[in-house]
Amino acid sequence: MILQSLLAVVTAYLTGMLYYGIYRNITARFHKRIGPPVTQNIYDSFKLLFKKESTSYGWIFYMGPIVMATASILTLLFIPLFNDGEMEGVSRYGDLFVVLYLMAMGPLGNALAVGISANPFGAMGIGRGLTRMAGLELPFYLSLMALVYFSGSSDITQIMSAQEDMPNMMRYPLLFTASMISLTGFLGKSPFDVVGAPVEVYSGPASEFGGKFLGLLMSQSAIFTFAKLLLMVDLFWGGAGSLAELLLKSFILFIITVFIGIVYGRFKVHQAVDFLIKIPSAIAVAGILLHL
Amino acid sequence: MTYTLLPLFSALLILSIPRRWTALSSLLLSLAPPLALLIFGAPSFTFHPSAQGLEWVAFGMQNSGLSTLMGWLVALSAPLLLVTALKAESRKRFHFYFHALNSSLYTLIFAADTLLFFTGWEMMGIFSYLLLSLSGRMEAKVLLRYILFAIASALSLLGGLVLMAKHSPSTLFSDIASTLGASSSAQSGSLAAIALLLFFAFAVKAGSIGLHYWVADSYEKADDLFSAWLSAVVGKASIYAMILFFIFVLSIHENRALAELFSYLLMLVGLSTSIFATIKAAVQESPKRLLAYSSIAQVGYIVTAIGLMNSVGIAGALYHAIIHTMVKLLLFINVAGVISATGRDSFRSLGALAYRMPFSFISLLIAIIALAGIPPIGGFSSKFLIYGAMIEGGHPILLSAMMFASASAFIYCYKLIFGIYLGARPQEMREDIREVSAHYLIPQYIIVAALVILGLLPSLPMTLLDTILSGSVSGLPAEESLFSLSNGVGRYEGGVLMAAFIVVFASILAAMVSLPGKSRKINDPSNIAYCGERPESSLHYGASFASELVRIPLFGAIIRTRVATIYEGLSSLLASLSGIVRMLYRIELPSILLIATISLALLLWGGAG
Repeated sequence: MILQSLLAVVTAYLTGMLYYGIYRNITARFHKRIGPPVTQNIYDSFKLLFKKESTSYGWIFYMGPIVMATASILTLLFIPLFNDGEMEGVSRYGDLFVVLYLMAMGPLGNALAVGISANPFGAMGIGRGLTRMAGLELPFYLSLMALVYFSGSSDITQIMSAQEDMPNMMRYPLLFTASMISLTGFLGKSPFDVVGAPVEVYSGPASEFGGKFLGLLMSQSAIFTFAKLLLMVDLFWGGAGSLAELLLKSFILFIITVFIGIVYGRFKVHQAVDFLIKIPSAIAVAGILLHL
Repeated sequence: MTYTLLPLFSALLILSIPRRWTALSSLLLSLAPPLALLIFGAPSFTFHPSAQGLEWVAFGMQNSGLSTLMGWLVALSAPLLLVTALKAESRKRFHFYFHALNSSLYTLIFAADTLLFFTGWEMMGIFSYLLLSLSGRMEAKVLLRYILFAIASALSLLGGLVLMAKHSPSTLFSDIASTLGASSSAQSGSLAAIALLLFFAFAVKAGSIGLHYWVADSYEKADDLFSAWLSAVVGKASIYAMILFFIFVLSIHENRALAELFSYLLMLVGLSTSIFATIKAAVQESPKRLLAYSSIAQVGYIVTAIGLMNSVGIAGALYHAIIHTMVKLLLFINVAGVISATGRDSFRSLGALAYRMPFSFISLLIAIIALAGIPPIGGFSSKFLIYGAMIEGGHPILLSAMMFASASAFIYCYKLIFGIYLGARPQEMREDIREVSAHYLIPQYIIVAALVILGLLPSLPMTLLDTILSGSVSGLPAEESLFSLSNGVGRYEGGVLMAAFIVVFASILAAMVSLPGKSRKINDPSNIAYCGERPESSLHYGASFASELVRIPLFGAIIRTRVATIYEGLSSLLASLSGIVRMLYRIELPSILLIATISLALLLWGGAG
């Protein structure tokens, strides 16, 4: 079980990093740049992890990225990797409610670390991040809870196995659309992204994560990205029977969010939340009412 | 009557004890009810006076599972609070009223008839009022508001109980249940009237939307320890009463005509309360006021779960009541510690205490994780049950709205910890602030241990909850082991999750520590990048955190809503009506003419009739 879990983490790390590399390349082409090699993020994360020194605000600051990475890895481990029971690890105990709440643990860890740095702009960023998260979650929950209701189970394996005849994305297209809009935001893509530290924190006490902390945050971000895509593949696309199938399906979902992100500009947070609790939520409610 | 008399006796005894021993004797006396519960169990008797013309009068105490659970909740919480009181509260009057209040709580919890229940309910209101009045911060208008709402609740309850008595051979719950509980459709009208009157009475105490006007000010202005008791324990009386009357006495869930309507009423009131109070909590500027709104929101979840009227829903409601009692006791004691250590009670003047008060910081962190319902801490288990019950009841949309409220709660949870423990130190705050004494920490860490145990063994209370519900609502899903919890649509493996969390966290921590890079701690808080501008005031953002929510139209509408406007409107309407009535008894020419005209009209109308 431990070996399977480790393999899942490595797979998620490499895939997430490569996807992010591809995303950077695609974005660069749209900007008429060449962009970095697709493996650049892997080099970067290792380089950062082995930096000689990183600034810290004590043990709370130290714990933030660790809690975030723990949450990302736990989220991944409790989502089934394949639909045939291979490499299941602890995912046999995976329940959708548990996974959804584990997804919320990471931001809280990050928020603690940012908070202790005492930078008011960092706290503003956290406030915006948490507000945006609440907005993203309404359509996401509506779609996913509808799936649980229609499948009669919150066991992810059961939801996955109930799609042998037809994947949920075809059976419930409106729910899929609403959840894809949320996924775009969850993956940090425009128009629902929140500005990161380099732009936001222009004054006040130094608060940025550096060195091994940044390395860990980059790594966990890759794992978390893959975990979210995996969840969508399992819930709406019947899961995958092989690694190739999983990579293909998750990549297609990923690339959809990438193109949405490239095409749209960024909403302000209040605009994003207002949009999310209206349009995608209405789409999801329509999707539910259509099948009740 | 043991559990009514024991605390009452304790209260009287405290009056005769020297002041320096008051808090200690109060703590020791508070151990009597849990010991009595442990040794003798809950009371059970009925008494018919059989006086001429009063055959319908009967008194009694019951030892039902529900009463026993709530009794234990009060009995175990009281000593925890009084450990803190050893340091924080030595006034005789506080301890006298506190034990007298507990006497009233035991009375209503163990009552087997409407008369004792009502007596307990009234005593609860009166002693809560007296305890509120002890606070140095209290304002007359807040007290007046509290007592007005308490009277409204009591009158509505009395109305419901009188209607019940009309249809029942006696005042005993068992007799009421046998006549009204198995109600035919012909009696649905009176049953609906009773249920609505009772619901109003309990909703006032639960602080449901629109009726919450008294809550925030009372919690904020009360003495810190009494705020804890109000939120954690006294607030649960309404939950107990709802489950007792709606499920066990009136069996509304079995009444075809009423069940669905009443179910939706409870769920919609509960949900809208949760969403409203969650958003309100996020913009409060004092920790106690934030926690007051949080309490309103959490009780909203419980009301929603009761509204489901299925076994998992009721079990989830009770489970959440247990968790909420623990969490709010912890949070209010924590905040009381912070206020006592700093002398400040606003986010504007608090901040950056994490390294000065690390034990308090950690306990608050665990409490907000439980409050937010994040696994593997106990708070997730109750939400897991409620969510499963909502799917089972066929309410995926309402469930999503509830989860949205729950996700929005992260904002105020973070504001609480950020505003007090993180961020920058306000300039006016002393530098010599140190960790609070063990009196504050011991109760907190007992609760932390209980929350962690409930996370590891989520189905620990399920046997008790199953016993409570068996016979009234269909059975709960079977549990495979103490480490897992089933909600009818899924299974939460608390043991596996806790183990996985520990392994993953420890592995990452070990890897980070073993990496060659060193972390350099920045000790200088004035290490500021000015970027061309020098901040003139504190950089702490605690009070303003989440103020941007007002820009979101829906959130802004909720934040700007002042329920006071409704009551002020009602008040001015009543004042105008009073003005008209006043005209009738003033000895002035217009009044005399008015009375004469009305009398003449009545005489003519009577004559014509």
